Amino acid sequence: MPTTGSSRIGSFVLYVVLVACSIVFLLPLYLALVNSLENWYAVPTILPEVFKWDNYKFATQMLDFWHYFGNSLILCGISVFTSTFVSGLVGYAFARLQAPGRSALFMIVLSTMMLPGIVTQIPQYILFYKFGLINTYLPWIIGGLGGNAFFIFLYRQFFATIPKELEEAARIDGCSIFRTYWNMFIPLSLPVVATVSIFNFQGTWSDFITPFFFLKQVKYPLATALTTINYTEGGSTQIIQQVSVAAGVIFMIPILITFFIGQRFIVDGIVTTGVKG
Amino acid sequence: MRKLASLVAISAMLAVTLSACGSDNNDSSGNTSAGNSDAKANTSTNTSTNTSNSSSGNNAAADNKADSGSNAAAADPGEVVTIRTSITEGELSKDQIAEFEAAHPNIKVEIDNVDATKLAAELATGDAPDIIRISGAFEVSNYVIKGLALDLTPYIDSSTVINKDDLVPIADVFRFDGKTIGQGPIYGLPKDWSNDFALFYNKKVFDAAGVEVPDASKPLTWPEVMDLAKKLTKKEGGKVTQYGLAATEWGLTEPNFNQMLQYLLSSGASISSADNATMDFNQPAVKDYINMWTDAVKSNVGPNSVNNDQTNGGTLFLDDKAGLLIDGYWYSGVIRGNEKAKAHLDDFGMLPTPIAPGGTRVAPTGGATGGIIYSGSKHPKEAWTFFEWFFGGKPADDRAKTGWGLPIFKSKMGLLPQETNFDKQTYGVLQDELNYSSQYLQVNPYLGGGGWAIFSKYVTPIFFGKSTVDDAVAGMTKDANVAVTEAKSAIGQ
Amino acid sequence: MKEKNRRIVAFYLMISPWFLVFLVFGLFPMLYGLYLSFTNYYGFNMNKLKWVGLHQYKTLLTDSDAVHAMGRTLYLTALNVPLSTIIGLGLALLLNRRIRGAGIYRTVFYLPSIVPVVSSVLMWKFMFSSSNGILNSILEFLHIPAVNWMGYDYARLSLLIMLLWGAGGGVLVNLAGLKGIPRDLYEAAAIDGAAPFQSLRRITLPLMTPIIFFNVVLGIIGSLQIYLQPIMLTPGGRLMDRPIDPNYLYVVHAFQQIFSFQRFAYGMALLWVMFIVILVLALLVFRTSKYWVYYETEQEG
Repeated sequence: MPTTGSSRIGSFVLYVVLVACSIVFLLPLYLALVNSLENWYAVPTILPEVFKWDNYKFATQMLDFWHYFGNSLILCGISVFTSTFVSGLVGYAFARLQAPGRSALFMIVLSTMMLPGIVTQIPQYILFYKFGLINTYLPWIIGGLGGNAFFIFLYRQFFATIPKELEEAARIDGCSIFRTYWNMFIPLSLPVVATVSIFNFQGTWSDFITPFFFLKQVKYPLATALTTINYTEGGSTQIIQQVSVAAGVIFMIPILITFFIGQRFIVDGIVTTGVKG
Repeated sequence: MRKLASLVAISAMLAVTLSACGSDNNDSSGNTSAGNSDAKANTSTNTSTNTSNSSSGNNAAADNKADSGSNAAAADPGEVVTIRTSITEGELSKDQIAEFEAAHPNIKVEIDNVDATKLAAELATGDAPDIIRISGAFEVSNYVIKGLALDLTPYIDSSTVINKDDLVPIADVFRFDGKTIGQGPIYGLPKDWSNDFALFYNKKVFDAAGVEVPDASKPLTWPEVMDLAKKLTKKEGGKVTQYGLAATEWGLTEPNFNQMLQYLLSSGASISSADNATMDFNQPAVKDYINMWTDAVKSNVGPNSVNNDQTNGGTLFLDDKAGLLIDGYWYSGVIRGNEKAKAHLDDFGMLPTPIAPGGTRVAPTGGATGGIIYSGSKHPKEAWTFFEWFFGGKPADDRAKTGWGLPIFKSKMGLLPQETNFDKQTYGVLQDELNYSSQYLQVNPYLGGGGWAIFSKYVTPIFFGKSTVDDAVAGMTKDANVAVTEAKSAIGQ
Repeated sequence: MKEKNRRIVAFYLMISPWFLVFLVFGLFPMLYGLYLSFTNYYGFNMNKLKWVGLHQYKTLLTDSDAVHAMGRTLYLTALNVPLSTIIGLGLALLLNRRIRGAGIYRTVFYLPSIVPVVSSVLMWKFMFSSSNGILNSILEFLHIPAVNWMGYDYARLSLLIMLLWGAGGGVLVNLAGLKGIPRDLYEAAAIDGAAPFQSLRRITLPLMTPIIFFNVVLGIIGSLQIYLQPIMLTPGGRLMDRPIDPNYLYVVHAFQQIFSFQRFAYGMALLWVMFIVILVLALLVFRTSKYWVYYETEQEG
């Protein structure tokens, strides 16, 4: 950590910049909060006019909020504790092991991110249907066993930065390739593991299209429920934006919590893992 | 919070102690004992929201039978059969499902939300919902020519719940003989409907502008509506303080394809040839309609893309900031339920559906959302049982009583709210409107939902001075014909 | 076994879970999707598909909407990727210091990227509004004439602002990268009398190049596929609504074809062309990587 610019003016400028950036980044969220407390169908306002906390109650009561919330947790659970590791393994192979066809295979990994999902959705549905995977969590489990292109790429880039000398030292010590990965690369890369876990949680938590496609409503996670089910009264098509926004705010809280924990881990990670030969 | 961190730490430590260096073991894969999430975890590339195909938004609430039963629909008679429907939960509540299942122990009902892609995927596997929710005014003919809708005529003929003679004419919007909407076999029924191009007024706004509320006993012409809207629009120091008109409750005050079809119906013009094989937008009535609206946009009678006021029409109307709102009878339900509007309910009222200058009076539906039974349904009989109950049984009564839409049965009209002055006013105007609601928007079955997209593609640039009406109608004609020709060939015609 | 062979075997073993799942869950649907783009698939006629050869691709060449949309999309990408990469890195550098409440700032910067697009666009629409929008109020305060943020002249800028607002999502990856740079490198540099700016240029940036590379590649892939934000920015914000021309991007066009006209096959053809474009761009960036990306092991081609 570079300890530079310790002059008072320097740090004053730093904090001014930080606070200015924070205001910019927070502004739309501030608006979301203010308007989630407005009366139904009210014109959006900048300054709070009323504090209708009931909107939050309605957000969780007008649909089976906590049921969907639970489904979200299940999907995230499957995701975070698995693909984080599988992707690491694949990323390690692509970063540190030479083998014929590696570049081509890696482009294939990346290419799976380049084709907009809608092209493969219908064929995938047919496939899952034939295998009886529709309306089960199996596509998440099996699909996850294959790792995730985004995470594989992320791991590969990080593993590529770890000094060669360390790896060679481990090899001389007689560590197998897997052990080298597990004992050295993973501990050295805890910031990345934390990053991937956060992304993983966030990605699964907010992915609404995959569950919409392959699950029935009872198994929907919150993200899908909130995008397919509008907050409306009776037969009206007019969405109650205020309640909708309130639901969105609650929806974000788990991601915020995981982020807040995870980002500490990024910092702590490097401090506790010194390089030991 | 701590737990997660320590879990990760512990598992990492375990791994370290379990696999100390030194062994020559060349294992590599296969020791992580877990699955993970599907590929879609990318941070930013999420996909579509769910929308219904029709112009009206899609609403629902949550479905949740704690135990949804298994998907395996039993083959043996006497066993429990699961029926799926894409009718949304806002329209079919958990309580209603429970009630139905109690009365029909051999049938389970499951809600299956679909959008165009998911429906396409389900059709590809022959596994589409047994009862598909569609827009009566816009989608029926399209589903029929694709062969997806089951002919329900024999079921209705022998039904004891649904009396054919009791149906209002608008229910025939679900009939199609391959050419003309409203004729031929019955493919479905609307759950409810509205005279969607009528006007609601907010007298407070009229008073503020010193304008009289027009006579509700006869329809205005659309140009008269625009003139009225201009008079109602007030500005103070360059800022609009109140608007005259809101075109939809959810968006900007601009013309749209659906409303144009009502205008054309009134003026007697048609953009489709009799056999629906070709389309031509280059007609005086189309141009009149666009010109009239272009002028309205220029005059800022409502929030539009040029003045860039992002407040939606419904909000402005209920907030006493817009004098007129184009909407059907169902909107009276919104007014009745709105906190602010409730306080001065007598200021609100409905006006008959406006007509084209010199045109005939029509009050068609622009929605009439309802259901068809999927032609590939494995349980058409059970699907019909549910269909009959949902469209003709108690749920139909319940819907009528709320006043969120109009029943499709003459005998249920009396169930509509008639207590307050507001109720009486809207009910009175409605009785008159009912005499003019037996005509249907001329929707080209091959164009599907494409008209909306084509219309907005060519009309928006006009407002910004980037195009002319003549170029627009030429472009619409070209695009529409491409779409119609391709659709016909896909259907095999 | 020789060390080299062992490593080759290990490579294939390690990637095998991914590879197997890719074969079944990835490759098959991709090829099936490709096949559909050579048929007259209309969303309902899966059982009686007709092979139409290159028809959809020929249609594409004469579809001026598609060509223009591609141009706009490339232009937006050319703006969005460098800017968001720089912002992401800049913010991470700011945060990679001893500051009070670092965790709070990190969370604040990261926050926008977790807000569901649907909710954030709603708020941005309000910000961009001319009637009581915040942006125009600020302009007014500064005595600058108000503009129509959603009109032809500014709609693209508005979209870009909205996208960059989410650039804080890159902070996390960058920060993890910065934390991975061994501290002794900086200490050695300090002993050698290097100024902070020099250590940034000589140590931080070179060691961060794999991460920057990651952000650039991912940025390109993501930017070219943007469709939800422009659609949500339309007044109705529904999937079938058409964004104003400057924001009518390529994938939006594909969605319009599929959802408004049920032209599934044509939509798939459009998206396969997009796939090829992304692939070519990615390959180009990979080609350049040997000139500017610093890896600890040699990377082939």
